[in-house]
Amino acid sequence: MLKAFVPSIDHPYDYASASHLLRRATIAPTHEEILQSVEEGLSKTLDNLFVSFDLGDEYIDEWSGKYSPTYPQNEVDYVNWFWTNKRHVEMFYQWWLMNIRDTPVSLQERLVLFWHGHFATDVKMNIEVAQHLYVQYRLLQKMCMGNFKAFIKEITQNMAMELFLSLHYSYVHEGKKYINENYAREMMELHTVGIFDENNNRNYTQKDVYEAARGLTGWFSKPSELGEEYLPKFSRFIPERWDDSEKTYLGQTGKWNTDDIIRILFEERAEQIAVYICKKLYSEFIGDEPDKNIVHELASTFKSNNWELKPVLRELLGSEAFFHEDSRGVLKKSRIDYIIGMVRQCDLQDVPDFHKEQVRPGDITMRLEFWGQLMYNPPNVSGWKGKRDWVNPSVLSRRLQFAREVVQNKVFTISYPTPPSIYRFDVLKFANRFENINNPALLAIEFANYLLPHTLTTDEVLQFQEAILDGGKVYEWDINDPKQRVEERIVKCLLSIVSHPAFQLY
Amino acid sequence: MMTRRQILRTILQTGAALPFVNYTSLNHALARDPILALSDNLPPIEDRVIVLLRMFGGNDGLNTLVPFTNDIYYKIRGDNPGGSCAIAPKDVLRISGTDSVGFHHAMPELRNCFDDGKMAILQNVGYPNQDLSHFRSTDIWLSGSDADKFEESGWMGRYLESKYPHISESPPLHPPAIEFTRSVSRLLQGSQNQYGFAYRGTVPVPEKPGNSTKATFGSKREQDYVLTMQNQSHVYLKTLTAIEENSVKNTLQYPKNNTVGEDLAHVARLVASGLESSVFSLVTDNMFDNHEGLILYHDQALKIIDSAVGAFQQDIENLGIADRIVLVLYSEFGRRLAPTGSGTDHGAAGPVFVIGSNIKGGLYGKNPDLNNLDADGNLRFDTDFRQIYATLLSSWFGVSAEAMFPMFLPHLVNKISFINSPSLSETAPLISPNPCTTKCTVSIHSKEINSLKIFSIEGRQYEPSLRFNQSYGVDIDVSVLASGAYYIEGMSGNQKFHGSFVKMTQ
Repeated sequence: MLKAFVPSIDHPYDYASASHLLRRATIAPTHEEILQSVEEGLSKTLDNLFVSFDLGDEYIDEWSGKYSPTYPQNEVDYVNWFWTNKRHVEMFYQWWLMNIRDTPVSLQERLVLFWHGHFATDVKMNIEVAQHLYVQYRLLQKMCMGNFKAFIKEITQNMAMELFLSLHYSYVHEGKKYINENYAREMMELHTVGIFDENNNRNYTQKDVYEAARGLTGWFSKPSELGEEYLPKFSRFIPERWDDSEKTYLGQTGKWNTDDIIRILFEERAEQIAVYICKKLYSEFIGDEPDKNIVHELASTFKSNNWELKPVLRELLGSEAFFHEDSRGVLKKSRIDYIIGMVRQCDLQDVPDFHKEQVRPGDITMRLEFWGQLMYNPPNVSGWKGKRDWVNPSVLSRRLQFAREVVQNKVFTISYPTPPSIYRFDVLKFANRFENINNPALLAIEFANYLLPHTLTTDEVLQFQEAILDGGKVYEWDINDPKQRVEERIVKCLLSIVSHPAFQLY
Repeated sequence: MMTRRQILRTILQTGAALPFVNYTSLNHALARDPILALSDNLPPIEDRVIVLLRMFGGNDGLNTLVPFTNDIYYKIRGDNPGGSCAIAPKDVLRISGTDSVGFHHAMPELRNCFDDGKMAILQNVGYPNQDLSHFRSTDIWLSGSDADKFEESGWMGRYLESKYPHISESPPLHPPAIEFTRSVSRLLQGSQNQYGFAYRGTVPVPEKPGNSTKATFGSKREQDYVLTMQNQSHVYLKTLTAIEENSVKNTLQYPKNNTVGEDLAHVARLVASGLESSVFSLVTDNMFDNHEGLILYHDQALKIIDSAVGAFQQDIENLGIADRIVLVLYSEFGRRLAPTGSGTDHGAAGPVFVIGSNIKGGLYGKNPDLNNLDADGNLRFDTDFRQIYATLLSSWFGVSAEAMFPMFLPHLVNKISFINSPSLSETAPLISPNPCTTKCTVSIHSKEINSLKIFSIEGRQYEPSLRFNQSYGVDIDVSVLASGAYYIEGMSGNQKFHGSFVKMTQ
């Protein structure tokens, strides 16, 4: 077990600790959520994080969860279907982003994004139907903090995954084997165990990949053949398509099927799987370079709890290592974190993506596509590189520009046609959320503590105060006096904060 | 044109010496290596450019360069229950100089390049213990490491590191390398810094950032990283923006809806407009991973490559910059001979194409031996991909061996002369056999050899028994040497000479 963080007089669960926990475990906590967490304390906050939410399908219920026909055969129908589906896909992305924006304090959407990168699937590769994207997202929501072994079973039967990694094309027909190794390989290499263990020994051979692929045959669900029964939720196991002969997989010999292959993998490579997943969780929640001892502690919790994710996550998020000063403000905000972060933290209005009636494409989705983090558009099947790559130079300059435009209410839109005002930022309403609205020197510190993840240095405090004072005196500050140019000075202070390198971090 | 002195200076400037290595003699030896001698028909070294175009997903080599007289190919690929995966002889574009292989019919432009003598085709390229994972094999190709070694840096990153040792404090005005991706790959990762700039679309120039704090841990360290990236971004984008604003135009229409073509058109404009980056790296979408529908999808993928590269070569010739550019077309692995269903699975060896006005065109290496597959049914390699890297670095970039140290030295010995470099100087020794096991003979145009020294690649001097034979040169007993690459430095009259050989175990 990792040493737990026990709040004390020296190390209280204060605004800084609460915002650290919520920035990591949720996506961009608001000032009010942080204050409430401080009020409720660490233990209650940890409990809250494991609550799941379903905000409903209202935005997309004209098509979500309903029977999804196969592509129309004639050309006119196909063209109609194509454009309708394209719109549905767009709506789906926007609905997902709304879920991130609107879900109360919970690990759910943070973990959904994490697992989406882990089980990366690409809309361009055989799964362009919106229904597939929706169903897999719902699966990620359902399983994100559940049992990892069960998760692997479910994802193996997920249509989007099977279509993406060719599992339907691995089968037996009239006694002849058509074995496709694609899914078997990625299931082991990317989803569970990795190619190498910690000592760079191979976790499996090419023969194991082939044998696993034989065991995993039999899944199929061609809509045209299943007719009305078809729902893109699960594919069906068709015994005639399964290779029923003997396989030797990771040293165990028998007539293995999908359940056996997964069982054997988790039996024979338990330690390696636990370490592989806990390393990833470490990088997601604590820092880029996993600490070996911490990973091993987490891995043993993972194994002894029979692959349940909750105990691991609870131990990790409640640990001293997690709350350590050196772990704070070291992760790089992903592009989704960054944009939705500004929307949530600054309470931005008129975001094009969140207006169902509009015909034009969303602005966040277009930005994400441009910045390289649109959902279901991973750079490749291993997902997003993340870590320092989130702030590589060309994206960094776009990020800096976006934040500066937001706080000045001058967002240059990359979508069209240009609406009168988007990402509307109500500066005074924002400032009024803070206790020290009548003291600019303290207000600047409050802003910075809200928006930046690290302990401020004296120089930084002076810099932000200088920006808000703008040559004026503290006692002259009057929020209702137009001559004081309060709004302009707040913007100046916020510009200085969002231009700080730590604004890229959390 | 550069003088020999300038060349030598360039060579000596590259590469920070590694500790514990006696570089004085080795450096000197390598600086005098005849491969680095100047030729009048080559452009100055600092003007030379390499464009790396990676066909992501594993290109099916057998269907790219088709062995159209090979019965085994047609038997196994053609007689396939999932549909023929072979390219019929009538659909093969014949090329000059061979009656046994030809291009896939989607590649008329590359065929013309070959017939014009502007393309070297290196057959059966791979490495020992081929890894069948996209990502692991890509890492191996980008780093240049052995399959069982883990190297974070990339082969171009290490080269550029030796050229720009102070990049983090003072980046050069022009980015050393450009990747048309959203993130910098391992290719351009040095041991400490990255040397590439991910450039896609119009990017705003960020403000010049403040100074870094030189922190070694915690949030400040990551903030420093952000500042470094912002500084690079600031410097590079100022240059790029200025160049884009005064850019020359492409001389012809590139194929439409073809992102490879768009990126290559961009490379041509940037180089012609004076950008001094020496490496451009492009990656295709995952369009070569044809587990299914090989005939259809591979045809489309090759068309994209062929039309784009064909237009590029014509364009750079029109722009008068063709003699400065070499384009390399490669993939992380080839695919298996035997199809699975309607496609092919991850395989091993495959062809690499090197294109340019200064390329010694032709076929290098034997045709694939379909009778001699490895245990998993994969094509065996006979050219190591690092032999190609060694040629590009030494004969095109004029790199001294240190920059390739120590990974490529053995391959430097076996580099393939596909670049139009001048003929070897008269003092180059003949070493045979090479590689050798127990002994080898060094001779030098029937001239007398007065003395001979032998160095390991670590720079250590060896003194095995030498037998001077006036008519045949010197016999060296290499049985005492460990296997690996060795350099020799000798005197003939008052003329120094240098060479290298590989010792293999019996």
